[in-house]
Amino acid sequence: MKTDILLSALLIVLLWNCKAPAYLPASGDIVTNPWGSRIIVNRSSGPDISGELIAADSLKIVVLTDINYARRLDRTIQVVPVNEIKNYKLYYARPNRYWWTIPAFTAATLSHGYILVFSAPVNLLLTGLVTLSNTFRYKKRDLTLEEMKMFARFPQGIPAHLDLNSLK
Amino acid sequence: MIMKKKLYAVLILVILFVFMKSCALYHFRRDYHNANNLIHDTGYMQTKPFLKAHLKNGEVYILTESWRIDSTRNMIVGSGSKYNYRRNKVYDGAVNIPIDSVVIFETNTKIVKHESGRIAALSILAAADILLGVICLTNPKACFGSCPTFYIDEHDSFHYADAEAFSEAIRPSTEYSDIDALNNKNLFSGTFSLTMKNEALETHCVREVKLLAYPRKEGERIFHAPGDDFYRCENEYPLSFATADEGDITRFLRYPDREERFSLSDENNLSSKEEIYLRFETSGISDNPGLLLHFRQTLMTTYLVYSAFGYMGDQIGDVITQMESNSKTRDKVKEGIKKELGKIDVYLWNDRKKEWEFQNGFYEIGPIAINRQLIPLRDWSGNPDARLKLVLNRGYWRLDYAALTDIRENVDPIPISPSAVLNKGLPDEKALRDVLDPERHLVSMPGDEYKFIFPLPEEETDYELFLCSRGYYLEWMRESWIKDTNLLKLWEMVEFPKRYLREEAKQFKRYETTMEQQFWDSRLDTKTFVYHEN
Repeated sequence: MKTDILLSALLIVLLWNCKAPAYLPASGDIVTNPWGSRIIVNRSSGPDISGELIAADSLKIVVLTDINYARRLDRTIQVVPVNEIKNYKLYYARPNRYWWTIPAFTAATLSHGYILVFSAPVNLLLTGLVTLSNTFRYKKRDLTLEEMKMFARFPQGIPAHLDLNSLK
Repeated sequence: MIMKKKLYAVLILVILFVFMKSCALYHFRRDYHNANNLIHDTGYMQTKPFLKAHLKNGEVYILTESWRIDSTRNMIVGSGSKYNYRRNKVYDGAVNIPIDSVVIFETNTKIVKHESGRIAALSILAAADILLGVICLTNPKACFGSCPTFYIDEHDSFHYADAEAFSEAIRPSTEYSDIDALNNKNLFSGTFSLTMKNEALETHCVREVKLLAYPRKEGERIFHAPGDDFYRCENEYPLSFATADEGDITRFLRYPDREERFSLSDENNLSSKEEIYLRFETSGISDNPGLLLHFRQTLMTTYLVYSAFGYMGDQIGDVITQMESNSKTRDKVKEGIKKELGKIDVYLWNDRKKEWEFQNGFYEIGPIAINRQLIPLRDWSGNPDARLKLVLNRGYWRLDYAALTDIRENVDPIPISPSAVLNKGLPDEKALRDVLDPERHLVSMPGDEYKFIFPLPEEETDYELFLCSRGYYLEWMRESWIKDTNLLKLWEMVEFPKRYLREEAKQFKRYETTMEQQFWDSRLDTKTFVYHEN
């Protein structure tokens, strides 16, 4: 029983971490999305930054950070020098959800008899994980900085005379 | 109890494994342009044609309905939505977007062009405004490269360049003199001007710029032939019928209207020939006709040249040095692929011998300006039906016009040197000295424009004019080319061109239908781009 609770808690944690922000489009709307993609940047010094990629060039990237409800922080513009970037992940669409499979597959384990005790939680978790899997993502090794700029809100670079603070 | 613990341990391991796999990277290509192609290749997205146009001011248009390019007004016309820089939708409806205001395009729909109607754009179109640092992100091998381009009207679009000079001279040792017909209208003026532009990432070293002029009366034309002969001609006999593999192509070749005929390359072998059959209306034709052809290359040469640069990569300095100092290497490079892909060979049907007789071949490198040349035809009397055949490499040439003309005589045009050179509207004495002195070069950097003023011999006489230019140019290595270093591939290209062209066919096919738009959009705008003050 205790283990089942722990496993369910693990599922909830995974669910929370894989939540997608509103500016990230559904996979079918990638091509008409006017916003930049979501980026999570691991820095060599300082906390990680996540938010909408505004622009990127050979010296820096500009991110409009997500709202941080836990720390009650509003969106801010963060400029990260390229030499401070340790790693990053870029998400260009929301994951496809297959929520319908969770009750269906879990219910299927009713036929497993004694093994149901083990297979039901496994099915619950596995279908949940598949549902959560984010297939629309690049990591640092997959995408150079030069290529990354095309996923920015302004792939052409920050327009001249634009006040970045007005983006918030 | 122990059994249960073991089972749970296994379950947790399985869960962690599945978690890692399910959150793993979707099998996507690495490059954005490949990723974009994959996005566009997925069926449900391809059914939704769209165009995204990013403007210099940060706004973006998203056109989701059918849209088109208005090449006359240089605009994108369609309907869609406009978002401001904060990505609030500010407009929905019909749109007219000046192409010059756009920095980057993103599209997944066919662009219908007046030349062919067959260009598909499944790519990102990158306007190469160097100031904004966006150059040819999708396909480096399609980056605009041109050698010097010449314009009678400096305001003409680059699609209407009147000449491109010494396109083959990509190294100092390959410098040569190039002659291009300017196809000028009647002019009765004491002077003639021609503007030379550097619209690519290149350094142009121009040794000489001259006009060749020959007086013409009404109804006369002077044409340039392979071998640099010139012929005074009269009358033009139009095409009555032309066929190729795809069927009747008469409408593409009957009028010089820039509605060109071209074929796509063979997906199994870039060196693959095709035949075009021509018949003409020859009522009243003389016994000494010539075949007049308007033609230019497709982007296959550009692709191969830039591929070669890519293979050289960061070793390019050493490789070029070897080519410059070793004549055997130079000859191999010169003769290999060029010879393999060949010219537009002209054959005349000999009704007595019942066979096709080879006449000569048209050849001029370059995909930008249309070439207008003449080949005299031998033994015309044996061809009562005026049947000709062109044999050319598939996917390598674009043809605009074919006609017969009566050759009257071989002539020598008058060479004319410039009397002045203008740079930003002001006389540039140094530039004039450079092009007049055979020991010097006028060096032109990206964005430069020079206007040459030529004095014509007689004000009241009409002249047929030709550009005679000499020099070479140096391509600037693109960062993405350096990543492609592959000396083995370069060696294969030089030593075994037949095999290389066979193996490279599928790779070229991936880019063939999208290169066209990318090439034109990566040209520098000499009005806004400044490399350095001069």
